Amino acid sequence: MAAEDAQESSGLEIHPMDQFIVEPLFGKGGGVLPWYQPTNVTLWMALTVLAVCAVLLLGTRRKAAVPGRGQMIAELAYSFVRNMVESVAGRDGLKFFPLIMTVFMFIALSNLLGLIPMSFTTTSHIAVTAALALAVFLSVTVLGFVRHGFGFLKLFWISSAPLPLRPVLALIEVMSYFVRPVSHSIRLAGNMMAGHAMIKVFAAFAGVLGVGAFVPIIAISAVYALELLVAFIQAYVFTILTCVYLKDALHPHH
Amino acid sequence: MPEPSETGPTASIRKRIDAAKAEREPAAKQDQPVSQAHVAWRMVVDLVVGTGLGAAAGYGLDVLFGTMPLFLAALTLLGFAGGVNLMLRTARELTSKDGGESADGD
Repeated sequence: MAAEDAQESSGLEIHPMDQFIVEPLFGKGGGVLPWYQPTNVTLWMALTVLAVCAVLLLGTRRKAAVPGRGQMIAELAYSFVRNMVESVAGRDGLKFFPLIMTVFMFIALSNLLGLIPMSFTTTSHIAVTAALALAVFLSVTVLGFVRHGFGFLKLFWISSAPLPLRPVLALIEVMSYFVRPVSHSIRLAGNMMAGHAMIKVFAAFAGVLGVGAFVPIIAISAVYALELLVAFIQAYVFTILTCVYLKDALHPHH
Repeated sequence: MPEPSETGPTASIRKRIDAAKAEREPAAKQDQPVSQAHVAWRMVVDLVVGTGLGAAAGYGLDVLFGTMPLFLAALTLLGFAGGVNLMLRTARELTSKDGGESADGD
């Protein structure tokens, strides 16, 4: 009770989730937005796409034999994802490299753009990450059926297990298969949202502590560094899991 | 002229190529210590989401058919099992990637 009073008198107001509110770019928010209304999510996703183009197209514009900094980044990203696809999904997975590269660049850059102060983190919304995860899930599932027909269902039929156990295991495998896209999207959105909310909480502390504000500011710097790492790692994790799912679709036999 | 198959300069060159390849191999695994924590995170999310998804699906089916605790109980357990299955698969991936090193650990 006393702590509550103290908080109110010092004006400590923490709204860590306000940064995730979807607002229309033009006009007033509130109520249900029509689907065609451009919002801050639209804006920052468009900026992400522009940033991806800038990094990859402008970076490699000169096609120098000895790459400069920009070209270096683009080439590193390319070879990083390419090696990942080849090592996880195998050589025939390379056909799907464009899809995976797109997913990786989009997530990595939208995570990074979200770290700019006052910006909006599109990947902190499950709507965005679920769309990405569903795109991966659906294309991988369709691919599996196109490649193997109903043989793709062997993915759920573990032939190494004893026969009486197989139906039970098949049920569990099917369940796991549907858990994957959900956890795929929740993991990314949860990570991004948690980090950004934490920064906002520390920022609110800094606002009321006066001279003592340097403590939360140091904490913010530390969390920011961590978030920079998380931004890359989550893009990496999302991409490598995409490769794993692709491998399952290409080679469903355990 | 004898075939210079496994002796002479070819063999030494092959040895040097293999050595160079072996040298380059660990460089590809630089991300190991960082991704380790995220593998743990991945397992936890899979487990929780599995249980949650099972419970949600079970609840939905129960409301639909009016068989209240039946599907809820069954699918929650099934979801949990699915989560454990994903977790074990992640663990298997990890051990197979590291070779014998972490297989000794458990």
